[in-house]
Amino acid sequence: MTGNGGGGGDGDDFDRRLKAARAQYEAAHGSDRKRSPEERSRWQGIGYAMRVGSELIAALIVGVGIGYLLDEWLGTRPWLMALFLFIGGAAGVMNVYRLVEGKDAGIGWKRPDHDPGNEADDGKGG
Amino acid sequence: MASPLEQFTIKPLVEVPGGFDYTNSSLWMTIAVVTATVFLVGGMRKRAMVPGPWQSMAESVYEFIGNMIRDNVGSEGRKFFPLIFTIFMFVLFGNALGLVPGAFTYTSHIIVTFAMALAVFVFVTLVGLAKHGLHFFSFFVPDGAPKFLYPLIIPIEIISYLSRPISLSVRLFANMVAGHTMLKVFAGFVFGLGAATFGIGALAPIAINVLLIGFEFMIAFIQAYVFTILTCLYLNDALHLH
Repeated sequence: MTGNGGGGGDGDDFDRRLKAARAQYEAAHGSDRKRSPEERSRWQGIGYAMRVGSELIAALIVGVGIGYLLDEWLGTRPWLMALFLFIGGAAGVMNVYRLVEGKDAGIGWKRPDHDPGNEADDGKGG
Repeated sequence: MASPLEQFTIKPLVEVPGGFDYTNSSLWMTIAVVTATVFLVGGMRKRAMVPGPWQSMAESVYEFIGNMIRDNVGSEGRKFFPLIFTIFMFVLFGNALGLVPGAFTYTSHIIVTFAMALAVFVFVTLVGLAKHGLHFFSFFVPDGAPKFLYPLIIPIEIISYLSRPISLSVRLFANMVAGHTMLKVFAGFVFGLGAATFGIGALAPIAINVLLIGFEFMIAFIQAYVFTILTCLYLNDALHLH
């Protein structure tokens, strides 16, 4: 560790310079560092593919489950189950719609790390 | 020949009365926790300014989750780092160690993944309630929807919210079961085809299994990633309503 890059062997000096460089970087790019758009979209693409199907089915399962339990409780079999089958299906479609819209499964969800242009766009929509 | 599903059998290793048996599932959970701890503690033992390979791996996992939280939750999410990091490591090591021949994959059991997903769901809901109080329930009333549609939309939103732990757990569980079953089915073909064709026919299923193993390593990582990023997104939802 006698090279010029090591800062003359003084670890604290390197540490201090690293902190300074990081602070400078964060001042320029904001403290929420982002990955490059390509990398981000690739990971999110695989993530989406894995999620769409299960989001659709999960809401349907929950809807049928709620309907079934309400039927058991109120003795109205099979009407509430049929009703909640459709509500669950609608919730599933809504989940997928939100996912594809980029609002995710969340209700009223907004990305915390928008570009300024996107933010204005979202303000109108949500 | 053994059934492809036999690998998912839970066997008690140490019998404890009252249903608290120490099973092969518990054994592999213990192994995962120990391995993850050794990986991180051992990697950070030297605390070198210029990290070696091991320290570099430990640091990159830390940075990966750190960046994920910053990207998806923002700086408010920092105090939840230990929870999210633990979830990631537990799922990742469960998935990856399950690929060791003869190992048991505890993430292939719906009760394990559902328990984790439910814990995340309850925790996130409590965070939302603690931060926003009763205003949290405005979560279920979409902005800009006409009032007369509320009786229809609010149940849909509630079901959509309740479906989170189901989709979170079913996705992980189904991917693990499907992958491991597929590996076993093709491994079974090796013997069947090999015996019928003097060994030549065995090459095709072996080649497929080689590809599948690589694919399974990718799935193991991606599923851990998806589970963790969804935890982040749910947390973000609870922290920043509308």
